[in-house]
Amino acid sequence: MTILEAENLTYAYSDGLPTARAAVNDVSLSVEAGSFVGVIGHTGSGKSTLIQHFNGLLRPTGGRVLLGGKDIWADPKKVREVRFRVGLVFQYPEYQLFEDTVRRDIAFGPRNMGLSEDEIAARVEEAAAFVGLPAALLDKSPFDLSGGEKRRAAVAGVMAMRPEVLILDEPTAGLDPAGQEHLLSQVKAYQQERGCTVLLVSHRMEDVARVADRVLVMDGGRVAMYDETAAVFSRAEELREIGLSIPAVTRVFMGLRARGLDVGDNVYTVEQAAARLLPLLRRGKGE
Amino acid sequence: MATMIDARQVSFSYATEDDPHEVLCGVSLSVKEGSFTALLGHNGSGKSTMAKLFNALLLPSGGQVLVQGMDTAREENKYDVRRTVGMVLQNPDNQLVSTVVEEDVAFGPENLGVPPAEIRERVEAALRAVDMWEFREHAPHKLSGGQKQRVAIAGVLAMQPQCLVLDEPTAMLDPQGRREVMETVRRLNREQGMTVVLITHYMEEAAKADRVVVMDGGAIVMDGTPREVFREAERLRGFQLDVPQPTELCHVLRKAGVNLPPDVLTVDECVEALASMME
Repeated sequence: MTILEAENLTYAYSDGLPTARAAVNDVSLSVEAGSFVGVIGHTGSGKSTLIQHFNGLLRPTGGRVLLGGKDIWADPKKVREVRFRVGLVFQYPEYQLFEDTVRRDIAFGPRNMGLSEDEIAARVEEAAAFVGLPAALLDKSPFDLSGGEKRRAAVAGVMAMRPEVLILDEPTAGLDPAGQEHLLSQVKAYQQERGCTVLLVSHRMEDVARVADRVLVMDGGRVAMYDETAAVFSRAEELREIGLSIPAVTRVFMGLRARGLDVGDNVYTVEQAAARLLPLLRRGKGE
Repeated sequence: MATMIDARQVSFSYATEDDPHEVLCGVSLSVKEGSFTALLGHNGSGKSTMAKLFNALLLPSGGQVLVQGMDTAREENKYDVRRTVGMVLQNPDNQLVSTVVEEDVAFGPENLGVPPAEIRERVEAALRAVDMWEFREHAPHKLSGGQKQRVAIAGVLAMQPQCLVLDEPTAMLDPQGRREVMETVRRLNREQGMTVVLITHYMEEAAKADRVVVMDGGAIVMDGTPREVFREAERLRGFQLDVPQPTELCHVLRKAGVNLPPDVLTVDECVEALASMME
């Protein structure tokens, strides 16, 4: 079932002026409900502009965005509801924390949805637990948290709205390796437990490889590739040409194949690589 | 080789009334002229504080930081310390001040009172060094992330520092931008003998340094060549860090009983090690 669809979506900044430039150019794609889509592309490829259409922050200058089969701009007065159904976590979301306690900050979205106080309280605790924020931190000021904790609090604020589609723009930038892994694992767990759809924008190919079922590659405002993760990372040369890269283990496998070794392809995580190589290495030793 | 930066028993705390904890507790680190050091550590480990001590943006509350023998705590040295050690930060947008690339690069030397003819020479040399000379008349805000960060580096180079301290310069960049910035930094180190201290969360960037220093809880816990440091994958994970993917792959295979070298760092080395066992 399709949850989100772009139909000939075009967005031109300064539309109507001589300086008009299409940041997103005639993009059509559909996102399956419950899928985990990695979105990659170099700076300026149009990926941030594209995802801002999915929750109605930007209005297309051409084409349509459909959520659950309905044009989100059919009734512009109702676009606010779209923002509860499609949650967007911006880059460096910790700069958007503003309340005097973490609890109130996470509650901001659910409160705007007009939920009861009991329901709000329950959602805040659920979201905090999802991102691994200890209950003891909920009554502290968000500004007293560490960088990693602030980031998690900001993500929890969007999760607390229980969006059907969760979109994260570079959620791990600036986090240390353990913090990155922690946040990604929690987003993955959230997606699997809640059965929601996730779009993850990232410059880290290793991260995308680890969590995404499908990868959307943007280039020059258009869709360059949109396919299963393995299929996208098998096109290493094309990715490199458009300023991207592939995971290091995938490069190791390309190197081995170039040496004439029959190791197969479709490998883009360390776990897959080890599972593929172990039997080959053991056989090589004559065990 | 002479010493560029010498931190001796340095302590520092961002003390508030209810939180007096020390960010650095008696850290000693000496950085040689012309070396390339990567500084690793999880968020809150004290590495950015350490970097800010290197050019007197912060002053130690205990101990001493010497830059080419100059004590950073002495007011009369501050000017020379900051000219010697240039700093590049994470977000290029916060470091660009002008609407034209070459004017942006000229901003530093103008403030130093450098004569105009020399400013022009410095701007050209700096922009050529980061391979951005052809963009000299462009508007910085229209450049890509990697190009902006290279202009920010040029702005620091125009001050003619002898040491560059870069605090996560690639955290906000796409893969191409990361490659551009890292190639620029390595070239400055190799060809111009620039001393480099690079703070990064990308382990594969750290693997290209001469030396890797790991901080945890305000102290230095590991210090060695990338090969020496990254072979200890378990220990690094204990400090909430990681190892490059090829190193990780060999580590996993070794644990499963495959006799691979423990200090593989790069994709090429990994291919070599695996191929030699399979061919």
